[in-house]
Amino acid sequence: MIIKKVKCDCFAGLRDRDYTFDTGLNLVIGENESGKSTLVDLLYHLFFQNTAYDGRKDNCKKFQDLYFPISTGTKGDSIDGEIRFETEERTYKLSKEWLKSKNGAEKMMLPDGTPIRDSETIKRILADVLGYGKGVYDELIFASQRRNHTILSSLLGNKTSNNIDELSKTLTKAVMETGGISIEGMEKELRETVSSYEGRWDFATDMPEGGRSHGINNPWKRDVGKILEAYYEKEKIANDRDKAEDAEREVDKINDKIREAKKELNDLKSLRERFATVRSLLSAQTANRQLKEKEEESLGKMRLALDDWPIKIAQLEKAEDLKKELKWATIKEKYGNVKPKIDRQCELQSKLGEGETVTDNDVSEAQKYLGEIQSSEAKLQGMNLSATIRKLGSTEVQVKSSVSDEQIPVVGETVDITEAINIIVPGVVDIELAPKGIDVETIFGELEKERSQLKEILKRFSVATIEELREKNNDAKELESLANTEIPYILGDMSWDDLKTKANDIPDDTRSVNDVDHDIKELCKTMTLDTFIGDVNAVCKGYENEYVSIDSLTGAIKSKEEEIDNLRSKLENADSIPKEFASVDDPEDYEDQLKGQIDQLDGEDGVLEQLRRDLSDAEKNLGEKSAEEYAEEYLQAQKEFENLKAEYVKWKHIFDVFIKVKNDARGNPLADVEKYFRENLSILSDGNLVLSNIGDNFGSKISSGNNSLTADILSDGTKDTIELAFRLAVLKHLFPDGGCVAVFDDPFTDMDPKRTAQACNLIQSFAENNQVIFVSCDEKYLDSMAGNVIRISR
Amino acid sequence: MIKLFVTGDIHIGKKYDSYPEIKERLIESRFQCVERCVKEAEREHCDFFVITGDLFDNVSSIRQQDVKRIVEILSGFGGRVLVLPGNHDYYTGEEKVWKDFKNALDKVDHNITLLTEFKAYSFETGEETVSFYPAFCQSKHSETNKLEWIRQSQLDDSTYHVGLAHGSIEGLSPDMKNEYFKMSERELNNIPVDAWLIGHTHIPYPSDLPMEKDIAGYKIFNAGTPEQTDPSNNTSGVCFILTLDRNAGKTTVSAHQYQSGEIRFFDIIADVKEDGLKAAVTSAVRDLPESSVIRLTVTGTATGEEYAEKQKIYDEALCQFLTNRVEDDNLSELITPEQIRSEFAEIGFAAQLLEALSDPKEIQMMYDLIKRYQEKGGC
Repeated sequence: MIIKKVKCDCFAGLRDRDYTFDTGLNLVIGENESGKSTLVDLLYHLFFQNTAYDGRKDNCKKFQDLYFPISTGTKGDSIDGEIRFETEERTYKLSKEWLKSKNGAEKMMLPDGTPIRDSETIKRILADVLGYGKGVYDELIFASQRRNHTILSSLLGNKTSNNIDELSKTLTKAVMETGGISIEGMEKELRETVSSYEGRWDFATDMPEGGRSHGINNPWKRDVGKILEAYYEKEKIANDRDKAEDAEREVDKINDKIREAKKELNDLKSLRERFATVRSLLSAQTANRQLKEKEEESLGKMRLALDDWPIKIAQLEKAEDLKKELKWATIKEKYGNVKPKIDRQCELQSKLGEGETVTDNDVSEAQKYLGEIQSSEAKLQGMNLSATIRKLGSTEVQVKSSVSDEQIPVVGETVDITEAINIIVPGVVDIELAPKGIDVETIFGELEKERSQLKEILKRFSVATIEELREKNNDAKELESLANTEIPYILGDMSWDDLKTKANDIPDDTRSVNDVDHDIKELCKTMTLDTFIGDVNAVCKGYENEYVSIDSLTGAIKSKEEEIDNLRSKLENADSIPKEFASVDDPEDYEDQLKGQIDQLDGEDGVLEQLRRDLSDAEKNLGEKSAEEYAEEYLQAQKEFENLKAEYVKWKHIFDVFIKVKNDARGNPLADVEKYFRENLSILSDGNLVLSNIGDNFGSKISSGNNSLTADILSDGTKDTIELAFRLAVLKHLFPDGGCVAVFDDPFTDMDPKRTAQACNLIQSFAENNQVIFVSCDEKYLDSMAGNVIRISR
Repeated sequence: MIKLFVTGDIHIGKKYDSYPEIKERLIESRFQCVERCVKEAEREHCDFFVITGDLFDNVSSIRQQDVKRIVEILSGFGGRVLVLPGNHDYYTGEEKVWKDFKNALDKVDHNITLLTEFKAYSFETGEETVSFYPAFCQSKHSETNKLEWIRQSQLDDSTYHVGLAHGSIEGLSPDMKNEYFKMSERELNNIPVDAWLIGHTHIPYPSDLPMEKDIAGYKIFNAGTPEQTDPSNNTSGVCFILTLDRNAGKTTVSAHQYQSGEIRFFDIIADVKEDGLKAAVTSAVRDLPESSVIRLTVTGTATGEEYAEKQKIYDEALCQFLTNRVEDDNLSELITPEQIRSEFAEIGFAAQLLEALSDPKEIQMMYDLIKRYQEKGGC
C-alpha cells in the first residue's frame, strides 16, 4: 500500500491541509508544534478511528478531547480528513468526518468509483487492503520505536541462547511479544490463575486433598484455592443446615414429649376428677367390703372350730383311755415277765435243797481229775490196728479194754484196736496188746488214784458224774442270778406281792403294751401321749374360752352368717362403682398416688417443667435461620462451587492451548527475522554492533568493539539502534516483497551523528521497496536522506 | 349453603434476608395480602375465613407487634375465622407465637378460633351446621399425618363436614424424606367429609379453578400461599372460595379462585442469541408484572459492545421490577478475530493464542486476563 494523499479541513491544529506523498521516502519536516505528529495521527485515525460516537468508550472520548479544536471563540463541532491510498495500482479514497459527541460519517470511494458509506463495509475493505490488522499497525507501522524495549529485554536477558537457532527463537519470541506482552509473564499469570483454582482440591477424587480428613471440620488453612474455598463455604452451609435440621428435630422431639406428658397429665387430672366424684361412695363400700371380709374370715374360723372341737374332745378321751390301758398293759407285761422267773427260782431252790453249793472251783477240780484220767487212758489207747479173729472152734474169745476193762464188741471177725486191749480166751490165754513203751501197770496205778479222787468229789456233792456236778454248779449260779439280778430288775421298786395284787385287778382283755403303743402312735403321731393330751386339751380350753360351748358356738355361727348376709346385701344394693375404680382398695392411698403422679408431671421440678427448660434450650440452638433457608443458601453455594469447577476446566484448557501455541511458535522460528536483524544491526553500527559467533551467552555476544553490552549500560542511542534494526527486520518479514508503509516520528534524537547517518542509510535502503513517512523538525535529515519533502508549518 | 374463604401458608414473619433492599416491602406485602383477602371474603359474603396452616413462618421469633397486627386484620372479618396450626407454626401449647396470638385475641373483639384439638368444631350459620375436622400440626416434621382421628370419627348426614389438614400431598408436593405429614389423595378421598382444605404446598391445587364462576367436581383443595414467597414456588398467589350446598341430603362443593397475590418471584433464563443481549434480556422479562422479584440467569455470548454495557442493559430491562438478581457467569463476551487483530498484532502471541481458542467463554477469559495483565504493566 502507498499513501498518495491526505487532506483535511480541520483536524486538531491542522486547517485546510493537503499533502501528497510519494512512493519511497517522504520527509515531513516542520518546526515543533507545526502539526507533524498531528498529521501522522490523522493518517492513523483515518484508517482506524470510527466515526460513530460512543461516549462510553474511553478511546472515543480521548480522541475527541485530543483532536477537536480547542481554540478560543466559537468551538467547532466537527473534524475531518481524507486519504487516498493505492494498492496494486488501485486507488481508494477514504474520507471521515467526526462530530463532537455525535455520530459522524465516512465514505470510501472504491477504485471503480463505487462509493461506500457503511462503516462496517469500509472496515472490511480496509482490512483487506491493509493486509494486517490494526494491532500490527499500532505496534509496528505507526509505532514509536521507543514504545518499549522488549526486544532488548529478549535479546540481552536471554541467558540460555547458545546457538543460531536459539537466536532465531529469541527473535521469534520478541516478535511474538510485540505489543509488550511477555509470554513468560502471561504464562506465569495463567499458571497462577489455574493454580488459584486448584489449591488443595484433588480433582481425581473430587475431594479436598487428604479426603474427608480435610473436610470442613479440619480445613486446609493455606493455599486453599478458589474451588476448595467454595467447597468449604458450601459445606459450612451444609453443616449449618444440618445443625439447624437437628435443632429443629430436637425441638420436635421435646415437643412430642411435652405433648405426651401433657396428655398423661390431662388423663391423670381427669381420672382424679372422676375419682373425686365416687370417692365417698367408694370409701363406704370399701369399709363394708372390708367388714364383710373380716366377718367372713371370722365365720370361717368359727366353722373350723365347730368342726374341730368335737374331734378334739374325742381325741382327748381316746388319749386318756390309751394312757390308762398302757398303765395296765405295762403291769400285765411285767407280771408276765417276772412270774416264770419266780417259778424257776422256787424250782431251783427245791432242786438244790439245803446241801453244799457246788462252786466253780469244785467243778474245776473234778474236771482236773477227769483230765488226768483221760490222759492216762489215752496213753493206753494210742493204737490203730485191725485184728481179724477167726475162731476155729466155739470157744469164746473176749476182747476187753485194758483201761476200762470193758468188752469191745467184735463185729464179724474184725476188731478195730485203738487202745491197749486184752484178748482173752477164757481159760486159755489172756493176750495183752498195748502200745510199745507203755507201762500199763504204772499207768493203771495212776489211773486208779485219779479215779478215786474224782469219785470222792462226786460223792461230796452226791452226784454220780462230773456232768451232774456241773449241772448243780449251773443251777446254783442261775438261782443266784434270778434272786439277785433278774427278778429285782423286772420288779423295780415294786414288790412281787404288789405286782401280783395289781395284776389281779387288771381286766382280762387288757392288750399288750405294743398294741397300745401302736394306737398311741396312730393318734399322736410324733408327739408323746402326754404332750398330745396337753395340746389337745389346750385347744379345747381355747375353744371353751372363745366360744364357751359347742352349742353356743353353733348359735354364734348362725348370728355371724346373718350379719354377713346383711353386709352382702348392702354391697349388692349400693350404687355401682365405675369399673376403672373397681379394684381400688384404699381410696386414700389411691388419691395420694394420683396426686403424686400429677405432681411428678406438673410439679415445680416436674417432668413438664424440665421438658420446658429443655425446649427453651433447644430453641436457643435454632439460630437465626431455618434449615430451609440454609438449604436455599446451600443450593446457591453449590452452584457457585460447580461454576468454579467449570471455570477451572476452561482455564485448564486455555492453559493447554497456551502451551501448544507457545511450543508451535518455538518449533517454527522466524529465520528471516534473524537474518534481517543481523544485517540491519551491522549497517546501523557500522560493524561495531555485531551478532556473530553465537556462543554460550547471547547477551554477551551483542558487543560494541571488545566490550559486551547489557541493557543497563546501553546508551539510549544504542537502544534506539537495536530497536530500529528489529522493527525494520520485522517489517521486512511482514512485507517481504515491500509495499509496506512505515512511519518514523523523529526517531533518532538520541543517536550521535554517525549513528544517525547510518540509521538514515538504513531507512533510505528500506524505502527502496516500501513507503516511509519520516517526520522530524530537524532539517539535517534533508542532507542524509533523499526523498519527497513535505514541509509543515503552523 | 355455606361459603368458605380458603387460604394458608401466609408465613407472617418471613424475614427475606436474601433481599435486604426490599426486605421491608416484602414483609409488609404479606400483611397487605391478608387485608385484601379479608376484604374479598367480606365481598363474597363468606361465612368462614379458613387458614390452613402456616399463618406464621415460625413459632419462636415472630414479633409480638406482627402477631397483634395479623390478629387485628383477621378480626375485621365478619364471619368466623378458623386458624389451623401448620408445620411452620405448629401447636403444642408451649409456643411463643401462639401465646402471643392468644394474648392478642384477648385484647380485641374477635370471632377467631384457633383449632388446637383433635375434635370436631361445629358452628351454626343461619340454619346450617358445619363441622370442621382439624388435622393440625404439633411439630415441624412428622412421618405420619394427623388424619387418623378423623378417619375414626362418625360423620352423620345432617351437617356439612369439612376436613382441614396441613402437610404434603403425595405426588403434588416435594417431600422426599417423608417428613411433612404426608397424605395421599386416596386417603383423603376415603374419609367421607364434603371437602378437604389442605395447606403446606404453596402452589394451588386444583390449578385450574376459574376466577369468577364456580366449578364443581373437586373434593381436595390446596389454595397455596396467597402471596408468593420465593421463586421456588411458581404461583401468582391465589385463594379459593368454596360453596357447599346441600340438596336432598347430597352436598355439592363448587369453587372459584381469587387472585390475592401482588408480589411475584420469577426465575428466568435469558439465552443470548443473534439478536443480542439486550433483546434476550428484554424478551425474557417482557410482560412480567412490575411488582416482581426477578432472578435472571444470562447465558450465551454477547458482542463486546453489549458485554461492556451489560450492567446498563440489565438495569434498563429490570429497573421496573421490585428488585433483581442477575447471574451471568455463563455469559461471555464475543471477541471476534477482527477485534483480536485490532487490539493485538496478529504476529504476536496474544493474538495467536486467542485465535487458537474456540470457546467464546474461554476466549473472553483469556482476553480479560491479557487485558488485566497489560493494565498491571506486565511485559
